[in-house]
Amino acid sequence: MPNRTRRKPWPYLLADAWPWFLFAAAVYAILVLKTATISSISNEWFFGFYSLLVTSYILSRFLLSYFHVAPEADPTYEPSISFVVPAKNEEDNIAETVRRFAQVDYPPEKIEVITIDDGSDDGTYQAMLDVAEEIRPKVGRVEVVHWEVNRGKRDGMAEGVKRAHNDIIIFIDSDSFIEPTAVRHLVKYFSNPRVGAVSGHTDVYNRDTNLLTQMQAIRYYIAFRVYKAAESVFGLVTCCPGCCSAYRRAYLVPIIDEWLNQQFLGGKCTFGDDRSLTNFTIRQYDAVYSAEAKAYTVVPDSFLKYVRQQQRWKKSWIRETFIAASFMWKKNPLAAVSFYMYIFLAFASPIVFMRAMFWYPIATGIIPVVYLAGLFLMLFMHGLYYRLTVGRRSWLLAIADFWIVTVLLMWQLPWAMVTLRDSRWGTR
Amino acid sequence: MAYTDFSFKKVLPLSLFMIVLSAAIVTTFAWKADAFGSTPFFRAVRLFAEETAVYGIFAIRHYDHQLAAAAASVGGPDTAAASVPTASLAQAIPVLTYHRLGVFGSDNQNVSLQNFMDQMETLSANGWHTITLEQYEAFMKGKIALPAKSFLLTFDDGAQQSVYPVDPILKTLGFTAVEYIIVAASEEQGSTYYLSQAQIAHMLASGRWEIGSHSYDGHREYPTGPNGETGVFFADKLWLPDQDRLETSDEFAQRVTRDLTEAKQDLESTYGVTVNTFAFPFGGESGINAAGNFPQGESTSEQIASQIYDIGWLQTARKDFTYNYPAYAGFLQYRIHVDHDWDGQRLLAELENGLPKVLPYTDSMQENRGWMDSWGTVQAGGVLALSATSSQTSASSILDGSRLWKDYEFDATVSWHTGYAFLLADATNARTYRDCTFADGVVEIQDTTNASITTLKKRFDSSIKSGDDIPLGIRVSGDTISCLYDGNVVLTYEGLASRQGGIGVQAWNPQPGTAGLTVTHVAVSAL
Repeated sequence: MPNRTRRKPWPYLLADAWPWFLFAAAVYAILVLKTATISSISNEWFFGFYSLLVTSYILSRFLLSYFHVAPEADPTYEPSISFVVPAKNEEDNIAETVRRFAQVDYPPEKIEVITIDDGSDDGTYQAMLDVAEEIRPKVGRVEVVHWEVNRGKRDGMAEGVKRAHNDIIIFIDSDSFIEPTAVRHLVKYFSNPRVGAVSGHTDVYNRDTNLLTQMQAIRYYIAFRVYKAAESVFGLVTCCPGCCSAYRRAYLVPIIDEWLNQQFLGGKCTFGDDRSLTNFTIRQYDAVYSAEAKAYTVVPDSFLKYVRQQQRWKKSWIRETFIAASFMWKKNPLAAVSFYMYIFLAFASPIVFMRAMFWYPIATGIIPVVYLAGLFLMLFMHGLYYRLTVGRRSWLLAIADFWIVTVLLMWQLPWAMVTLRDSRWGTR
Repeated sequence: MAYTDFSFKKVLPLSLFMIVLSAAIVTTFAWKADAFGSTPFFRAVRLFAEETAVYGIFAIRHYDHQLAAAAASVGGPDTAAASVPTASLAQAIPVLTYHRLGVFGSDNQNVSLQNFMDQMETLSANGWHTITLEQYEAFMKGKIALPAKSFLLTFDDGAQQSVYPVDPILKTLGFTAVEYIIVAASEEQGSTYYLSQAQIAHMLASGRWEIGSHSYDGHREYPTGPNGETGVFFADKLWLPDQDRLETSDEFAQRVTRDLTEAKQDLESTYGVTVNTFAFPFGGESGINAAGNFPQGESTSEQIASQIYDIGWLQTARKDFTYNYPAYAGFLQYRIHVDHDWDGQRLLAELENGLPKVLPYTDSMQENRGWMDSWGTVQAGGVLALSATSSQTSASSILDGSRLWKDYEFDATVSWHTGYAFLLADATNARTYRDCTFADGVVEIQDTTNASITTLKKRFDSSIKSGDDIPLGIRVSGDTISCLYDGNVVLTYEGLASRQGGIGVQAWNPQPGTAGLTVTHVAVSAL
């Protein structure tokens, strides 16, 4: 039976095609909806403008990410690498995280591992020592740093940069794991001297725990594959996350002390270290996204933990966005417009939501069907994109959850604004 | 943009997708413009959704009914067929009036979608079918024959909600309908209530709809005085604020003529159809409901309308004969206004009660077969009971469907204790009939034309008494009318002009609120 199994029977093709069809239908419905409401802009310019902007922003992200592509890999380019892992109270995960460094597909002699125990109260230090001994024969160099008193993640990362000897520094969070192939995919971008930082693609490790983690899996996937990829088109990824990112050491050394001592609103910055470091980098160099460099991270599995994490991220987003806003206008015009557009949308969305869901229905007695349909279609489109790129996986319920979370978390931004100087939640 | 791939294999699929997407969007809006015109987009989406949903729901429901009917017919002959015998060819046509459907339930004015589906399904399942306006007109002129159980379906006002939830039902059952358009309302841009011109054109193109005139702009309140008084466009003289006076009779006539002519011309030129019929706005059973500053207003409007149109519809039926009879229809014709709370069985009963009945006719009054509440309080079912309301001296009931009877004897078993019991015959409507009147010690023969009574003959006879279960009768044959008491002819009059006309009963007593009678059995036989 030559090649009988290669070709799928048509019912299966059809079964595979339906998410594509639905995705196209969702895009169609969104565009029809927006075209139909375009005439109302004249009497409600603010909300009409918002509506047009949010649609063009989101659709343009999909479009840009579609054209995003990895550079041709140069097989002769093989710089030395340093893994830097700052950790506090991670005795359960740290060994597995570090052990994977010895299993990566890369010449062992070019690998350096630096772990920093940031004043842990548990057996993290001992676990670090044990795993260091375990992997020592398999890598070029291992170093374990021990601090009696906790100094914070930023100090740990800076310490790693200062102690590292190799060309490329790869930060891995203590609750994240990388795939063996990830290193080569991170490193290949640095053959271009403009590249200062590369973000890997991080998926959710504990995806199947509950609906919240399923929902976060979609958010992570889309945030990387669509939004980060769209930023990467211009070499302007605004956050190379701590869970798996690589930096060129030569570019970090001159800025590391300034970054370590970064002040904002009269206080030392103690969270959002990854976004901040990327922000320092993209002033002069490119930061890009590598979809092939795969890593996994553990996400909050309870709503309260999730809200706290999001609150921390929102605060650092505000801080770093204000900083980035001071130089983004000098960059690629399309990238700059997208950047400022997103700032406007983030702050306008709670206002638009209030008006559509409360003020307008109360004033007119009309249920905001069009607004809700628009919101639903957008989320539906994201869910379908996830479904059609990752394959058969639960997504519909997670999208419904996404809706609730979007509505709830919309209020975090103004709240983060108000409590920006309160860094109590900033501790890891 | 260094990290991008704009190669052919990336650009081509996206371009194709964009082309298909753009084409789909352009097609969508072109189709919307064509089928909905100036109707706001989201209203059009809602109407389309309603139409589609009703189509699906009704198709399933209809299929279900057909299965059930097929299963029932296997069981044996239809037992319900043992009703009143009627002719197999139509002798008269009932016309139904609706305005719009309450899609999410009835609103006390309009029939709910649920009831409408039930009504149409029930009518269809019982052998009823719609005819077109063209067929109706030809039938009324005696040019064509139509099968019995034909009816004409009409909707007044030209509301969107009278088409989108209705059309799928018509489509499934193979029915047609007529929409009466207020021209000015249809020309209003962006209405969410009235059909736009594009919608009307689209619905005409389906072949399931015809249109008629519901005036150019006579369907709203107009000022009839300087202090906010309002009146009816087709009945009252309107206030002319510039000249601080009411219009003259001539101005009234000119205004009505202009409106009716423009409506007809506008509809005909816009849609390329012939418009021969006019539905009077606010046209109730007794004519147009006027505010009353111009007693000749109604008749002037009727007269003008009759020169422009072939038919002028009132929106309700009369309380005698609900169908329109070719031989007796004038310019004004009547429609049965479907009440918001009628289900399918109720509408079916209303229609079947009006079907021209065939002699001989017997009625044990177990259910109402068409005894109309012409005036007073009339209750049918078990017995036929008439009683005058507290302010009235009489109550009257005409039997619907008896309009075409001629030369017959009508016997009834009547109980009454005060005043007079009337048996009506040769009734052409509730106010024009001949009768035998019975009271203690007296019998009379009367001829009533348009409520004006002439006593033809009167005889005192002490054997005639009120009481329980008294057999009374009236016989009309040729030029002779006879009254029967207890099976015996007690009075006869000769010299009438013979005519077709139905039967009825009436109670009368000079003291208000006291007249009343009950009838337990009726038999009518041809002579």
